[in-house]
Amino acid sequence: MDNSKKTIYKNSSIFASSDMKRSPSELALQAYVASEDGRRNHQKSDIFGGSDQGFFAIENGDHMHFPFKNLEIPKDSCTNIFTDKPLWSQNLYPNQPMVSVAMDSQSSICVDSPQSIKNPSGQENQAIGASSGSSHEQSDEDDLEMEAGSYEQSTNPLDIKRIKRMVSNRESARRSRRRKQAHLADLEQQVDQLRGDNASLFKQLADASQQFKDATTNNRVLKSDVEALRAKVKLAEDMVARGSLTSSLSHLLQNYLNTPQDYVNTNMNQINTISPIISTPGGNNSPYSGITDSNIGLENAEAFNNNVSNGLITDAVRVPEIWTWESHVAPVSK
Amino acid sequence: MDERKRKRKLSNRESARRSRMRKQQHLDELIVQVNQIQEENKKVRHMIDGATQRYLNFASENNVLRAQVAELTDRLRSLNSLLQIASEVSGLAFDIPDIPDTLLEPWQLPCPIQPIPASADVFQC
Repeated sequence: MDNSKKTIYKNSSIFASSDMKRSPSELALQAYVASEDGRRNHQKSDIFGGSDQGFFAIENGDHMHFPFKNLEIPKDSCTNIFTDKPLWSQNLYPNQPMVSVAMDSQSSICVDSPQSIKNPSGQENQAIGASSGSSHEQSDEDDLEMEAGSYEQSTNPLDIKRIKRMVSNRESARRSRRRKQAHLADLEQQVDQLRGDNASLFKQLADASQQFKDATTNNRVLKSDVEALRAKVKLAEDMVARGSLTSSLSHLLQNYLNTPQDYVNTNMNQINTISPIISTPGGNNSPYSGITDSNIGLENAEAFNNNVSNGLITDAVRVPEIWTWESHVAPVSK
Repeated sequence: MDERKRKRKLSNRESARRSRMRKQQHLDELIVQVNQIQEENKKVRHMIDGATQRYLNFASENNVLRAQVAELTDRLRSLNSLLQIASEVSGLAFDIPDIPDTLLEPWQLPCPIQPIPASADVFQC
Protein backbone atom coordinates (compact mmCIF):
# COMPACT_ATOMS: atom_id res chain seq x y z
CA MET A 1 0.00 0.00 0.00
CA ASP A 2 2.75 2.50 0.83
CA ASN A 3 3.97 2.78 -2.79
CA SER A 4 0.43 3.86 -3.84
CA LYS A 5 0.66 6.82 -1.37
CA LYS A 6 4.06 7.80 -2.79
CA THR A 7 2.71 8.04 -6.37
CA ILE A 8 -0.26 10.17 -5.31
CA TYR A 9 2.00 12.82 -3.77
CA LYS A 10 4.19 12.71 -6.87
CA ASN A 11 0.96 13.25 -8.71
CA SER A 12 0.79 16.99 -8.80
CA SER A 13 4.27 17.28 -10.37
CA ILE A 14 3.35 14.84 -13.16
CA PHE A 15 0.19 16.73 -13.54
CA ALA A 16 1.85 20.07 -14.17
CA SER A 17 4.16 18.67 -16.86
CA SER A 18 1.33 17.12 -18.87
CA ASP A 19 1.26 18.36 -22.50
CA MET A 20 -2.48 19.19 -22.32
CA LYS A 21 -3.65 22.61 -23.41
CA ARG A 22 -4.27 24.74 -20.31
CA SER A 23 -6.91 27.44 -20.30
CA PRO A 24 -6.61 29.96 -17.36
CA SER A 25 -9.84 28.72 -15.84
CA GLU A 26 -8.37 25.26 -15.83
CA LEU A 27 -5.33 26.35 -13.92
CA ALA A 28 -7.45 28.00 -11.28
CA LEU A 29 -9.52 24.88 -11.09
CA GLN A 30 -6.43 22.71 -10.74
CA ALA A 31 -5.20 24.75 -7.83
CA TYR A 32 -8.51 24.27 -6.09
CA VAL A 33 -8.63 20.57 -6.87
CA ALA A 34 -5.08 20.03 -5.73
CA SER A 35 -5.90 21.49 -2.31
CA GLU A 36 -9.15 19.48 -2.21
CA ASP A 37 -7.43 16.19 -3.06
CA GLY A 38 -4.56 16.79 -0.75
CA ARG A 39 -7.06 16.73 2.11
CA ARG A 40 -8.70 13.49 1.04
CA ASN A 41 -5.93 11.51 -0.55
CA HIS A 42 -5.44 9.14 2.44
CA GLN A 43 -8.93 7.96 2.26
CA LYS A 44 -8.94 7.39 -1.54
CA SER A 45 -5.63 5.63 -1.86
CA ASP A 46 -6.69 2.90 0.58
CA ILE A 47 -9.90 2.36 -1.35
CA PHE A 48 -8.30 2.34 -4.78
CA GLY A 49 -5.47 0.10 -3.68
CA GLY A 50 -3.16 1.94 -6.02
CA SER A 51 -3.32 1.75 -9.84
CA ASP A 52 -1.02 2.92 -12.57
CA GLN A 53 -3.94 4.06 -14.71
CA GLY A 54 -2.47 7.49 -14.81
CA PHE A 55 -4.89 10.37 -14.75
CA PHE A 56 -7.88 11.17 -16.84
CA ALA A 57 -8.58 14.61 -18.12
CA ILE A 58 -11.83 15.24 -19.88
CA GLU A 59 -11.26 18.15 -22.12
CA ASN A 60 -14.51 19.90 -22.76
CA GLY A 61 -13.69 22.99 -24.70
CA ASP A 62 -13.83 25.96 -22.36
CA HIS A 63 -15.95 23.94 -20.04
CA MET A 64 -15.01 22.45 -16.78
CA HIS A 65 -11.72 20.59 -17.18
CA PHE A 66 -11.49 18.06 -14.40
CA PRO A 67 -8.23 16.09 -14.05
CA PHE A 68 -8.31 12.91 -12.05
CA LYS A 69 -5.60 11.93 -9.71
CA ASN A 70 -3.10 9.34 -10.95
CA LEU A 71 -4.63 6.27 -9.40
CA GLU A 72 -2.65 3.24 -8.48
CA ILE A 73 -5.08 0.52 -9.66
CA PRO A 74 -3.53 -2.96 -9.27
CA LYS A 75 -2.44 -4.21 -12.68
CA ASP A 76 -4.08 -7.60 -12.54
CA SER A 77 -7.61 -6.45 -11.82
CA CYS A 78 -9.32 -3.60 -13.60
CA THR A 79 -12.60 -4.59 -12.04
CA ASN A 80 -12.02 -2.70 -8.80
CA ILE A 81 -12.57 0.48 -10.84
CA PHE A 82 -16.21 -0.48 -10.77
CA THR A 83 -16.21 -1.03 -7.05
CA ASP A 84 -15.01 2.48 -6.43
CA LYS A 85 -17.28 3.99 -9.04
CA PRO A 86 -19.94 5.33 -6.67
CA LEU A 87 -17.27 7.13 -4.64
CA TRP A 88 -16.00 8.83 -7.79
CA SER A 89 -19.31 10.27 -8.81
CA GLN A 90 -19.81 11.64 -5.29
CA ASN A 91 -16.77 13.82 -5.05
CA LEU A 92 -17.07 14.97 -8.63
CA TYR A 93 -18.99 18.03 -9.70
CA PRO A 94 -22.66 17.07 -9.89
CA ASN A 95 -23.17 18.96 -13.20
CA GLN A 96 -20.62 16.75 -14.98
CA PRO A 97 -22.79 13.87 -16.33
CA MET A 98 -20.14 13.34 -18.93
CA VAL A 99 -17.63 12.29 -16.29
CA SER A 100 -19.69 9.44 -14.87
CA VAL A 101 -20.40 8.40 -18.36
CA ALA A 102 -16.68 8.28 -19.01
CA MET A 103 -16.51 5.90 -16.10
CA ASP A 104 -18.77 3.44 -17.90
CA SER A 105 -16.39 3.08 -20.74
CA GLN A 106 -13.43 2.94 -18.41
CA SER A 107 -13.59 -0.85 -18.47
CA SER A 108 -12.59 -0.72 -22.11
CA ILE A 109 -9.76 1.62 -21.22
CA CYS A 110 -8.08 -0.91 -18.97
CA VAL A 111 -8.50 -3.51 -21.63
CA ASP A 112 -6.89 -1.49 -24.36
CA SER A 113 -3.37 -0.43 -24.97
CA PRO A 114 -1.66 1.94 -22.43
CA GLN A 115 -0.70 4.50 -25.07
CA SER A 116 -4.36 5.57 -25.31
CA ILE A 117 -3.94 6.95 -21.81
CA LYS A 118 -0.86 8.92 -22.66
CA ASN A 119 -2.92 11.30 -24.87
CA PRO A 120 -5.72 12.09 -22.46
CA SER A 121 -7.55 14.33 -24.98
CA GLY A 122 -11.32 14.70 -25.20
CA GLN A 123 -11.45 12.07 -27.94
CA GLU A 124 -9.88 9.55 -25.65
CA ASN A 125 -13.10 7.71 -25.06
CA GLN A 126 -14.29 7.49 -28.64
CA ALA A 127 -10.80 6.56 -29.89
CA ILE A 128 -10.81 3.78 -27.38
CA GLY A 129 -14.39 2.86 -28.15
CA ALA A 130 -13.73 2.79 -31.92
CA SER A 131 -10.52 0.82 -31.61
CA SER A 132 -12.01 -1.69 -29.19
CA GLY A 133 -11.60 -5.36 -30.24
CA SER A 134 -14.11 -6.50 -32.88
CA SER A 135 -15.13 -9.32 -30.58
CA HIS A 136 -17.49 -7.18 -28.53
CA GLU A 137 -17.96 -4.41 -31.06
CA GLN A 138 -21.74 -4.40 -30.89
CA SER A 139 -21.95 -3.68 -27.19
CA ASP A 140 -19.22 -1.04 -27.40
CA GLU A 141 -20.93 0.79 -30.19
CA ASP A 142 -24.14 1.10 -28.31
CA ASP A 143 -22.38 2.59 -25.30
CA LEU A 144 -20.52 5.05 -27.42
CA GLU A 145 -23.60 6.07 -29.31
CA MET A 146 -25.20 7.14 -26.12
CA GLU A 147 -22.10 9.06 -25.36
CA ALA A 148 -22.14 10.71 -28.78
CA GLY A 149 -25.66 11.78 -28.02
CA SER A 150 -24.52 13.50 -24.91
CA TYR A 151 -21.91 15.41 -26.93
CA GLU A 152 -24.76 17.12 -28.83
CA GLN A 153 -25.33 19.39 -25.96
CA SER A 154 -22.16 21.28 -26.78
CA THR A 155 -23.10 23.89 -29.37
CA ASN A 156 -19.54 24.31 -30.59
CA PRO A 157 -19.72 24.03 -34.45
CA LEU A 158 -16.30 22.40 -34.48
CA ASP A 159 -17.50 19.69 -32.17
CA ILE A 160 -20.65 19.13 -34.15
CA LYS A 161 -18.66 18.66 -37.38
CA ARG A 162 -16.28 16.31 -35.64
CA ILE A 163 -19.10 14.33 -34.17
CA LYS A 164 -20.93 14.12 -37.47
CA ARG A 165 -17.81 12.77 -39.16
CA MET A 166 -17.32 10.35 -36.35
CA VAL A 167 -20.85 9.06 -36.58
CA SER A 168 -20.69 8.68 -40.36
CA ASN A 169 -17.38 6.85 -40.12
CA ARG A 170 -18.84 4.52 -37.61
CA GLU A 171 -21.87 3.90 -39.83
CA SER A 172 -19.74 3.21 -42.85
CA ALA A 173 -17.53 0.88 -40.81
CA ARG A 174 -20.58 -1.01 -39.69
CA ARG A 175 -21.96 -1.17 -43.24
CA SER A 176 -18.67 -2.46 -44.60
CA ARG A 177 -18.51 -5.12 -41.90
CA ARG A 178 -22.04 -6.20 -42.77
CA ARG A 179 -21.21 -6.25 -46.47
CA LYS A 180 -18.14 -8.37 -45.84
CA GLN A 181 -20.15 -10.75 -43.69
CA ALA A 182 -22.83 -11.03 -46.38
CA HIS A 183 -20.17 -11.65 -49.00
CA LEU A 184 -18.69 -14.47 -46.93
CA ALA A 185 -22.09 -16.05 -46.32
CA ASP A 186 -22.88 -15.76 -50.00
CA LEU A 187 -19.65 -17.53 -50.91
CA GLU A 188 -20.36 -20.31 -48.45
CA GLN A 189 -23.80 -20.78 -49.93
CA GLN A 190 -22.42 -20.71 -53.44
CA VAL A 191 -19.88 -23.44 -52.66
CA ASP A 192 -22.58 -25.68 -51.20
CA GLN A 193 -24.86 -25.14 -54.16
CA LEU A 194 -22.06 -25.81 -56.65
CA ARG A 195 -21.17 -29.01 -54.82
CA GLY A 196 -24.80 -30.13 -55.22
CA ASP A 197 -24.74 -29.35 -58.94
CA ASN A 198 -21.46 -31.18 -59.27
CA ALA A 199 -22.89 -34.34 -57.74
CA SER A 200 -25.98 -34.34 -59.94
CA LEU A 201 -23.86 -33.63 -63.02
CA PHE A 202 -21.70 -36.65 -62.33
CA LYS A 203 -24.81 -38.77 -62.02
CA GLN A 204 -26.06 -37.50 -65.34
CA LEU A 205 -22.68 -38.27 -66.84
CA ALA A 206 -22.88 -41.83 -65.53
CA ASP A 207 -26.34 -42.29 -67.03
CA ALA A 208 -25.31 -40.80 -70.35
CA SER A 209 -22.24 -43.00 -70.64
CA GLN A 210 -24.27 -46.08 -69.70
CA GLN A 211 -26.79 -45.23 -72.38
CA PHE A 212 -23.96 -44.73 -74.81
CA LYS A 213 -22.45 -48.11 -73.90
CA ASP A 214 -25.77 -49.89 -74.40
CA ALA A 215 -26.10 -48.23 -77.78
CA THR A 216 -22.68 -49.50 -78.86
CA THR A 217 -23.49 -53.07 -77.81
CA ASN A 218 -26.84 -52.87 -79.59
CA ASN A 219 -25.05 -51.63 -82.62
CA ARG A 220 -22.62 -54.53 -82.66
CA VAL A 221 -25.37 -57.11 -82.20
CA LEU A 222 -27.57 -55.59 -84.87
CA LYS A 223 -24.72 -55.52 -87.34
CA SER A 224 -24.02 -59.22 -86.86
CA ASP A 225 -27.76 -59.95 -87.17
CA VAL A 226 -27.94 -58.17 -90.45
CA GLU A 227 -24.90 -60.03 -91.74
CA ALA A 228 -26.36 -63.39 -90.71
CA LEU A 229 -29.72 -62.62 -92.23
CA ARG A 230 -28.15 -61.46 -95.46
CA ALA A 231 -26.28 -64.75 -95.73
CA LYS A 232 -29.41 -66.77 -95.10
CA VAL A 233 -31.48 -64.81 -97.52
CA LYS A 234 -28.85 -65.26 -100.18
CA LEU A 235 -28.77 -68.95 -99.48
CA ALA A 236 -32.51 -69.22 -99.68
CA GLU A 237 -32.58 -67.25 -102.89
CA ASP A 238 -29.98 -69.52 -104.42
CA MET A 239 -31.93 -72.58 -103.43
CA VAL A 240 -35.11 -71.22 -104.85
CA ALA A 241 -33.47 -70.17 -108.02
CA ARG A 242 -31.46 -73.30 -108.67
CA GLY A 243 -32.78 -76.45 -107.22
CA SER A 244 -36.35 -76.62 -106.01
CA LEU A 245 -38.15 -76.50 -109.36
CA THR A 246 -36.05 -79.18 -111.03
CA SER A 247 -36.79 -81.54 -108.17
CA SER A 248 -40.47 -80.74 -108.25
CA LEU A 249 -40.41 -81.27 -112.04
CA SER A 250 -38.90 -84.72 -111.66
CA HIS A 251 -41.61 -85.51 -109.20
CA LEU A 252 -44.25 -84.41 -111.68
CA LEU A 253 -42.84 -86.65 -114.37
CA GLN A 254 -42.87 -89.57 -112.05
CA ASN A 255 -46.58 -89.13 -111.72
CA TYR A 256 -46.76 -89.24 -115.47
CA LEU A 257 -45.28 -92.73 -115.62
CA ASN A 258 -48.04 -94.17 -113.54
CA THR A 259 -50.73 -92.54 -115.67
CA PRO A 260 -52.19 -93.53 -119.17
CA GLN A 261 -50.65 -92.23 -122.45
CA ASP A 262 -53.14 -89.52 -123.37
CA TYR A 263 -51.60 -87.42 -120.71
CA VAL A 264 -48.40 -87.21 -122.76
CA ASN A 265 -49.42 -84.20 -124.83
CA THR A 266 -50.56 -82.25 -121.85
CA ASN A 267 -47.22 -83.09 -120.14
CA MET A 268 -45.39 -82.11 -123.28
CA ASN A 269 -47.06 -78.73 -123.30
CA GLN A 270 -46.12 -78.28 -119.65
CA ILE A 271 -42.53 -79.13 -120.46
CA ASN A 272 -42.58 -76.45 -123.14
CA THR A 273 -43.60 -73.79 -120.70
CA ILE A 274 -41.09 -74.94 -118.10
CA SER A 275 -38.07 -75.63 -120.25
CA PRO A 276 -36.96 -71.98 -120.82
CA ILE A 277 -36.43 -71.62 -117.06
CA ILE A 278 -34.28 -74.71 -116.75
CA SER A 279 -31.95 -73.50 -119.46
CA THR A 280 -29.54 -72.43 -116.76
CA PRO A 281 -26.46 -74.61 -117.08
CA GLY A 282 -26.15 -77.24 -114.39
CA GLY A 283 -22.35 -76.60 -114.37
CA ASN A 284 -21.91 -75.22 -110.88
CA ASN A 285 -21.25 -77.93 -108.34
CA SER A 286 -24.74 -78.01 -107.06
CA PRO A 287 -25.12 -80.26 -104.02
CA TYR A 288 -28.06 -82.00 -105.63
CA SER A 289 -26.21 -84.39 -107.89
CA GLY A 290 -29.41 -86.21 -108.73
CA ILE A 291 -30.85 -83.07 -110.27
CA THR A 292 -27.87 -82.39 -112.47
CA ASP A 293 -28.28 -85.86 -114.03
CA SER A 294 -31.88 -85.15 -114.72
CA ASN A 295 -30.76 -81.88 -116.31
CA ILE A 296 -28.90 -83.87 -118.89
CA GLY A 297 -31.96 -85.94 -119.52
CA LEU A 298 -34.06 -82.82 -119.86
CA GLU A 299 -31.67 -81.29 -122.31
CA ASN A 300 -32.32 -84.34 -124.55
CA ALA A 301 -35.97 -83.74 -124.09
CA GLU A 302 -35.44 -80.17 -125.05
CA ALA A 303 -33.65 -81.25 -128.19
CA PHE A 304 -36.50 -83.66 -128.75
CA ASN A 305 -39.03 -80.81 -128.42
CA ASN A 306 -37.15 -78.77 -130.93
CA ASN A 307 -37.32 -81.68 -133.31
CA VAL A 308 -41.03 -82.06 -132.71
CA SER A 309 -41.62 -78.39 -133.15
CA ASN A 310 -39.62 -78.68 -136.31
CA GLY A 311 -42.06 -81.37 -137.34
CA LEU A 312 -39.23 -83.96 -137.87
CA ILE A 313 -40.51 -86.62 -135.45
CA THR A 314 -44.23 -87.15 -135.79
CA ASP A 315 -44.49 -90.64 -134.23
CA ALA A 316 -45.62 -90.13 -130.58
CA VAL A 317 -44.35 -93.62 -129.62
CA ARG A 318 -40.75 -92.52 -129.42
CA VAL A 319 -41.43 -90.43 -126.33
CA PRO A 320 -41.79 -93.32 -123.80
CA GLU A 321 -38.28 -94.62 -124.63
CA ILE A 322 -36.71 -91.40 -123.55
CA TRP A 323 -38.76 -91.10 -120.39
CA THR A 324 -38.14 -94.64 -119.25
CA TRP A 325 -34.45 -93.75 -119.05
CA GLU A 326 -35.56 -90.63 -117.13
CA SER A 327 -37.58 -92.48 -114.54
CA HIS A 328 -34.65 -94.80 -113.92
CA VAL A 329 -32.64 -91.76 -112.70
CA ALA A 330 -35.23 -89.91 -110.65
CA PRO A 331 -35.70 -92.40 -107.79
CA VAL A 332 -31.99 -92.25 -107.04
CA SER A 333 -32.17 -88.67 -105.77
CA LYS A 334 -35.22 -89.23 -103.57
CA MET B 1 2.71 -5.07 -13.41
CA ASP B 2 3.33 -3.08 -16.51
CA GLU B 3 5.34 -5.84 -18.16
CA ARG B 4 2.60 -8.48 -17.80
CA LYS B 5 -0.08 -6.12 -19.07
CA ARG B 6 2.09 -5.15 -22.01
CA LYS B 7 2.75 -8.80 -22.80
CA ARG B 8 -0.94 -9.63 -22.66
CA LYS B 9 -1.77 -6.70 -24.86
CA LEU B 10 0.84 -7.80 -27.35
CA SER B 11 -0.48 -11.34 -27.35
CA ASN B 12 -4.02 -10.06 -27.84
CA ARG B 13 -2.89 -7.94 -30.73
CA GLU B 14 -1.08 -10.94 -32.20
CA SER B 15 -4.07 -13.20 -31.84
CA ALA B 16 -6.32 -10.54 -33.35
CA ARG B 17 -3.98 -10.32 -36.31
CA ARG B 18 -3.86 -14.09 -36.63
CA SER B 19 -7.60 -14.36 -36.56
CA ARG B 20 -7.91 -11.64 -39.22
CA MET B 21 -5.36 -13.58 -41.33
CA ARG B 22 -7.29 -16.80 -40.88
CA LYS B 23 -10.52 -15.12 -41.84
CA GLN B 24 -8.92 -13.64 -44.95
CA GLN B 25 -7.43 -17.02 -45.87
CA HIS B 26 -10.80 -18.65 -45.44
CA LEU B 27 -12.34 -16.07 -47.73
CA ASP B 28 -9.66 -16.56 -50.39
CA GLU B 29 -10.05 -20.32 -50.12
CA LEU B 30 -13.77 -20.04 -50.69
CA ILE B 31 -13.22 -17.91 -53.76
CA VAL B 32 -10.75 -20.44 -55.16
CA GLN B 33 -13.15 -23.30 -54.43
CA VAL B 34 -16.03 -21.58 -56.15
CA ASN B 35 -13.95 -21.09 -59.29
CA GLN B 36 -12.63 -24.64 -59.23
CA ILE B 37 -16.04 -26.23 -58.87
CA GLN B 38 -17.51 -23.99 -61.54
CA GLU B 39 -14.73 -25.07 -63.88
CA GLU B 40 -15.28 -28.73 -63.10
CA ASN B 41 -19.03 -28.42 -63.64
CA LYS B 42 -18.41 -26.89 -67.03
CA LYS B 43 -16.10 -29.76 -67.96
CA VAL B 44 -18.59 -32.40 -66.82
CA ARG B 45 -21.40 -30.72 -68.75
CA HIS B 46 -19.18 -30.85 -71.82
CA MET B 47 -18.54 -34.57 -71.32
CA ILE B 48 -22.24 -35.22 -70.89
CA ASP B 49 -23.01 -33.45 -74.15
CA GLY B 50 -20.31 -35.47 -75.89
CA ALA B 51 -21.65 -38.76 -74.58
CA THR B 52 -25.22 -37.85 -75.44
CA GLN B 53 -24.26 -36.83 -78.95
CA ARG B 54 -22.41 -40.09 -79.56
CA TYR B 55 -25.34 -42.00 -78.10
CA LEU B 56 -27.73 -40.28 -80.52
CA ASN B 57 -25.54 -41.16 -83.48
CA PHE B 58 -25.49 -44.82 -82.48
CA ALA B 59 -29.20 -44.78 -81.72
CA SER B 60 -30.06 -43.59 -85.22
CA GLU B 61 -27.70 -46.12 -86.79
CA ASN B 62 -29.25 -48.82 -84.66
CA ASN B 63 -32.69 -47.88 -85.91
CA VAL B 64 -31.50 -48.25 -89.49
CA LEU B 65 -30.00 -51.63 -88.67
CA ARG B 66 -33.21 -52.72 -86.99
CA ALA B 67 -35.15 -51.82 -90.10
CA GLN B 68 -32.75 -53.87 -92.19
CA VAL B 69 -33.09 -56.81 -89.87
CA ALA B 70 -36.86 -56.65 -90.10
CA GLU B 71 -36.77 -56.42 -93.87
CA LEU B 72 -34.32 -59.30 -94.24
CA THR B 73 -36.32 -61.40 -91.85
CA ASP B 74 -39.45 -60.88 -93.89
CA ARG B 75 -37.62 -61.73 -97.07
CA LEU B 76 -36.17 -64.84 -95.54
CA ARG B 77 -39.59 -65.84 -94.29
CA SER B 78 -41.07 -65.55 -97.76
CA LEU B 79 -38.21 -67.47 -99.33
CA ASN B 80 -38.54 -70.14 -96.73
CA SER B 81 -42.21 -70.52 -97.41
CA LEU B 82 -41.39 -70.84 -101.08
CA LEU B 83 -38.83 -73.51 -100.30
CA GLN B 84 -41.35 -75.16 -98.04
CA ILE B 85 -43.79 -75.51 -100.91
CA ALA B 86 -41.13 -76.71 -103.26
CA SER B 87 -39.98 -79.35 -100.86
CA GLU B 88 -43.52 -80.52 -100.31
CA VAL B 89 -44.12 -80.73 -104.03
CA SER B 90 -40.86 -82.40 -104.83
CA GLY B 91 -40.57 -84.38 -101.68
CA LEU B 92 -37.05 -83.09 -101.48
CA ALA B 93 -35.94 -81.99 -98.05
CA PHE B 94 -34.43 -78.56 -98.26
CA ASP B 95 -32.14 -77.19 -95.70
CA ILE B 96 -34.38 -74.17 -95.07
CA PRO B 97 -32.38 -71.59 -93.16
CA ASP B 98 -34.13 -70.88 -89.87
CA ILE B 99 -35.34 -67.38 -89.21
CA PRO B 100 -33.49 -65.96 -86.21
CA ASP B 101 -36.06 -64.53 -83.93
CA THR B 102 -34.47 -61.11 -83.71
CA LEU B 103 -37.68 -59.38 -82.92
CA LEU B 104 -37.44 -60.01 -79.21
CA GLU B 105 -34.04 -58.32 -78.84
CA PRO B 106 -32.85 -59.02 -75.34
CA TRP B 107 -30.89 -55.75 -75.19
CA GLN B 108 -34.01 -53.72 -75.77
CA LEU B 109 -35.62 -55.04 -72.66
CA PRO B 110 -35.96 -52.22 -70.10
CA CYS B 111 -32.89 -53.09 -68.05
CA PRO B 112 -32.17 -50.99 -64.94
CA ILE B 113 -29.29 -48.62 -65.70
CA GLN B 114 -26.59 -49.33 -63.12
CA PRO B 115 -24.70 -46.10 -62.30
CA ILE B 116 -21.12 -46.75 -63.30
CA PRO B 117 -18.36 -44.39 -62.17
CA ALA B 118 -17.64 -42.09 -65.10
CA SER B 119 -14.18 -42.85 -66.44
CA ALA B 120 -12.31 -41.26 -69.28
CA ASP B 121 -11.86 -44.50 -71.25
CA VAL B 122 -15.62 -44.87 -71.51
CA PHE B 123 -15.37 -43.01 -74.80
CA GLN B 124 -12.63 -44.97 -76.51
CA CYS B 125 -14.87 -47.09 -78.72
